Amino acid sequence: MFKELDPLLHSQLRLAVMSLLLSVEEANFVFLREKTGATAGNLSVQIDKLNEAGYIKVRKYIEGKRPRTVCKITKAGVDAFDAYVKALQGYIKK
Amino acid sequence: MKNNINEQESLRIISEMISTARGNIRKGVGKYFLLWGYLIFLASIAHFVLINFTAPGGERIGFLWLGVTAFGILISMIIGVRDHRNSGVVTYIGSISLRIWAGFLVCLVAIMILLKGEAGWYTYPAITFIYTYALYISTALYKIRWMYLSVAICVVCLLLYNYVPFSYYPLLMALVMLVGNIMPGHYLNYKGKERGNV
Repeated sequence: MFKELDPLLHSQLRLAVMSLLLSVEEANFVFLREKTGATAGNLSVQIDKLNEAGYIKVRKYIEGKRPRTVCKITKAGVDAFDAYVKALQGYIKK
Repeated sequence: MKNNINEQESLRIISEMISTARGNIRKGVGKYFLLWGYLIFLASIAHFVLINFTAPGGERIGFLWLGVTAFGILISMIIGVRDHRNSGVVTYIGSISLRIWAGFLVCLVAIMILLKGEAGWYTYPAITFIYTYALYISTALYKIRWMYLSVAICVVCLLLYNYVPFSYYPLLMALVMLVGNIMPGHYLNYKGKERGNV
């Protein structure tokens, strides 16, 4: 019996964001957009979804006149990612 | 961007993104190495000249080191604030490295306060000792193999303090800065530029 893959992580962009955030302490919106190659609108929507699920923590603030968005993976996010990779390994071993 | 991906694609995305972020030697990361390297290098040479070629004057030497340390801390803080504003990402390596060298700086100031008068002889060996340890951890963090050679040279210098007269201590410190800060600083900047990272 295969474990079901977390639908929230089983999306190209959300998985890319989570993988990036797993490797760094925190990253801002521009960094994530550059590394994933996503559009600002799409990335913003996916970040909101991950934030609502509690997988990442989003900090928004104004610096000078510019709005800044900084993302950081949470403990729940790390656990979900870990479970996702384990489930993935199950599929690959089949 | 697709929503339906297969397992192989998932694994590819994960490994690609993790390696992208982990191999991130940031542009200009060597500037702190260079700032402190050149500052201490020049101050050591100045100290060497002062104790060997000028009339004795302990106060001037005290002011020299106090001034250099204060100037270094001030410039580091200015660069740090500017970097924090412009930086897109905080890496674990960058974060740990910052803590290591901040800890070193606290120890440095403590040594300068504690080792005064007769004990001033031990200032150079004590600073080189904690510096070598901090450099060793940084080398392991950045995974730059040739920097272990810099660490080894620092250890040799540390042992040499036992055999050379005090008037040559500043020259040993200058050598330590050259191999431990200046060379790695230029190398890190070159690597960051070459990779074109943020």
